[in-house]
Amino acid sequence: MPKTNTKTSATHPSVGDVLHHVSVPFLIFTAVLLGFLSLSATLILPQLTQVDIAGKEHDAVELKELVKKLDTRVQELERARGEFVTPLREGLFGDAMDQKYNSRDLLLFKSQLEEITQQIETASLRQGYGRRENKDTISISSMTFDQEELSLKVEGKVQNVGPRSMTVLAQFINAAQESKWVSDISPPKFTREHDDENGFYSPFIFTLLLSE
Amino acid sequence: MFALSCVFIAQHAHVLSEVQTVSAPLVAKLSELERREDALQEQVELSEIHAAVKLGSLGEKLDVYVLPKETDFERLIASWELLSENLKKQGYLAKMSDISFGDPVDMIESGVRASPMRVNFAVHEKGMEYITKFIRLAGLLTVGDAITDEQLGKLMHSTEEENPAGIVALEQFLSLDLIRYARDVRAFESKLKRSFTSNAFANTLLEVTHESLLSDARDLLEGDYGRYMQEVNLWPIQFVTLKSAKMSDGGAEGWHVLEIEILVWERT
Repeated sequence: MPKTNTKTSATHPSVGDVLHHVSVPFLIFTAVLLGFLSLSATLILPQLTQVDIAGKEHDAVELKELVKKLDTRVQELERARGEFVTPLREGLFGDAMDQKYNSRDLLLFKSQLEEITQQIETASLRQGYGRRENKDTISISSMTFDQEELSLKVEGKVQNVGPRSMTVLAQFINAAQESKWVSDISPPKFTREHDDENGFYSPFIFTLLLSE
Repeated sequence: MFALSCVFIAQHAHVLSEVQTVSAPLVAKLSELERREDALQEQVELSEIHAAVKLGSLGEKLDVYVLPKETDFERLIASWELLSENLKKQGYLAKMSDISFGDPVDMIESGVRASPMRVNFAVHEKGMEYITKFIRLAGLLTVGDAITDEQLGKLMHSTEEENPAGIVALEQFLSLDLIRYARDVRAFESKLKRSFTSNAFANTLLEVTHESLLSDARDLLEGDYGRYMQEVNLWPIQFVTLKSAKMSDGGAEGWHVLEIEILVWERT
């Protein structure tokens, strides 16, 4: 079995020796690399990065400026076209039209509230305290819409659900409050009344503040 | 020298990544913008020719009928009475109350004031829809007034894509008197569609006409009411906006009492 040569490890070259030996090849390598990179930067890179537009070369910065300029020009032309095609959109009539387009619609709120009342009625039937033969559980007797205050006052009563009328009213208020078109609500007074004709019922008046 | 090489390598990497992430998308955007610029330039030149004449006649109608210096009460009340008669004839209205006016108030918009007008109706739900449409359409002059900026943008974009020269036909369509359009929708839409060969523009037009107040105009004005309004020259109506509305039970299924307060706009 050969013996380990312990002398070899003792005569290992020092770091200084290694650096001394590799410095010349490294210098040559760096010089060549630098030469190639310089050549590439002056001859090849411009070829790769310049874009020829209408016979003129542009780099990335110039391209950005060109796009910005053209974008502004397109917007100006769009404005000019708009002024020619719909000349009355600017000025007083334009402002008046904006207000018309922004105004709300009572009928839309009516249908949205009806949608909510239907959901509550269905839920009441499912929970077993609505009367199937009479779907008019939440009866809205009046709605007052104020465009300036963006509010909707709702009056009516919850009926045909026996002594649970206040619970159904609370469900109705919650559902209305959760609607996207409602920003706030002034809740009604929760009361339960009774008469021979209607049985238990809960009258309500509440005001919805509408989302902008 | 080594440090300089590293700087060069970094510069190469930066430039190459910039080509990929900046220059290539910019070139694509640039060609799209150039195409739009050409189309828009052509459209602006074409639409400019018709604009001066059109603006004069529209401006006159606007000043006399839509935003007058003083409300023409006879004309305003006649248009409401005609609406009420028409709804009664269709069985959608039982009664219209007296019409009362309040003192004019200044509006936020400079150069205008508005008089509150109050009127009540015993009306069926269907009649309420017509009254709402009437309020929405009161003050609109042309087809272009019945569509929003967004909808107009869709139509414009579609002309750019399909046929930039079609802007002339679109311009004529948009400047059409709203009542004339509503009385003969098919003829005017077909005329416009003839300027475009593919179905894409027709689909955009269909979408816009269904979503906009043009469908309200069609519903309200294409029948007898529109014919009367045209015959007795009550169109366009003075500009109004809704101030408040109260709807309460009318005593029968589908019937309501509708109390409305609208603002009748005047120039100051």
